[in-house]
Amino acid sequence: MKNETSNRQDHKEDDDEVVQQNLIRTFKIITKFQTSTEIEIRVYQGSKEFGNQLIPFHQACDIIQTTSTIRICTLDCSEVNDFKLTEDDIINWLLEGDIHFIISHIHQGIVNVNMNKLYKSIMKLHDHPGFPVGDNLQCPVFTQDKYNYLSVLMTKGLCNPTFKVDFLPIMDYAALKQDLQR
Amino acid sequence: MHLFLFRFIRENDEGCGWVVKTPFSTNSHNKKYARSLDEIIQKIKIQYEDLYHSIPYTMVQATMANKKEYKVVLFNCEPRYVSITPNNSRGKAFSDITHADLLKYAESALREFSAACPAALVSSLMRVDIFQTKLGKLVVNELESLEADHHCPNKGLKKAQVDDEVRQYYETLLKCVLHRKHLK
Repeated sequence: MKNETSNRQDHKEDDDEVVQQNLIRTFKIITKFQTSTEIEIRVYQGSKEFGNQLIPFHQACDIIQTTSTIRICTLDCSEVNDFKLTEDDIINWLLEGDIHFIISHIHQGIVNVNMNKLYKSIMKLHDHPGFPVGDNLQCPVFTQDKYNYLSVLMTKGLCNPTFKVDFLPIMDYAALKQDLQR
Repeated sequence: MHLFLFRFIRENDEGCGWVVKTPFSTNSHNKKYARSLDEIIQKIKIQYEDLYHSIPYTMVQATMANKKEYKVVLFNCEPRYVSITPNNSRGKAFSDITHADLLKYAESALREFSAACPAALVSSLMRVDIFQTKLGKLVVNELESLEADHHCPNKGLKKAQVDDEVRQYYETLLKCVLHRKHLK
């Protein structure tokens, strides 16, 4: 009985895996039809229609497109959710273009995102042409790692004093839970 | 954790309770208010249960007695204007500080941050959100860049100027990256 349940569970996980792979394959097909002469700029733009950087960025692209052979390819958070893309999938998608641009906080609007995974993975763009690159990828305002930037200001007495409560890793979760319930 | 948290709330009390708020969020998402240590612990627990798989920590701050929050818009660390924000109706909003002083404070805070944080990316549109403590001291509540709402009084003329600067910023960046790409 136990084995049957376990087998059913394995089959379900296999099915989920197949569905996931198919979604990613479909996603890659519809986003990749680059010609050899074009430079492809892959843009993570957050929302599809709204966003404070969207209009100025696309205006700039329109100006550039009059003088250069470029192709703009965008990804927004609804597509990330629909195609069930992982943190690594998003960054790998940006890496597959010739140039990357990130004009929104990547994690905003994404379901089931893990910040540690995402902002570890983003460092793969460190030397890839685009924006941002290098150490700027770790800017705490860009990543919205609030305590990180507040702690910089706190040392200079420039912000509201802030107490950080770490969410411990899974291994210590039970201990913290007990502590909090006491 | 309890002892340190207890000390923290004793030393940081504006008489209006405390707020438990999460990083990696905007528009007051996941913000929870508490009136006592027990309530703070309870709110942390709720956030932990909901979010531990997603975010690595949460934060506790004193709730400000003065609800007036100024949002200063800057471009390339240079202050441009104080943005319009809806008044918070849940408490008193008061201040006699001039906009000139606010702009100066926001600029100095952003420059201090930039100097102390080598990874800082502050060369385009930024917004510095500022509160005033009940003792009258200005403090930064939040820094925002890519998703910074920057509505502006005076028929939005200054906003249009900043948007144009952002457009020029991207245009220059794109040209620069494309130029480097062609050189390779």
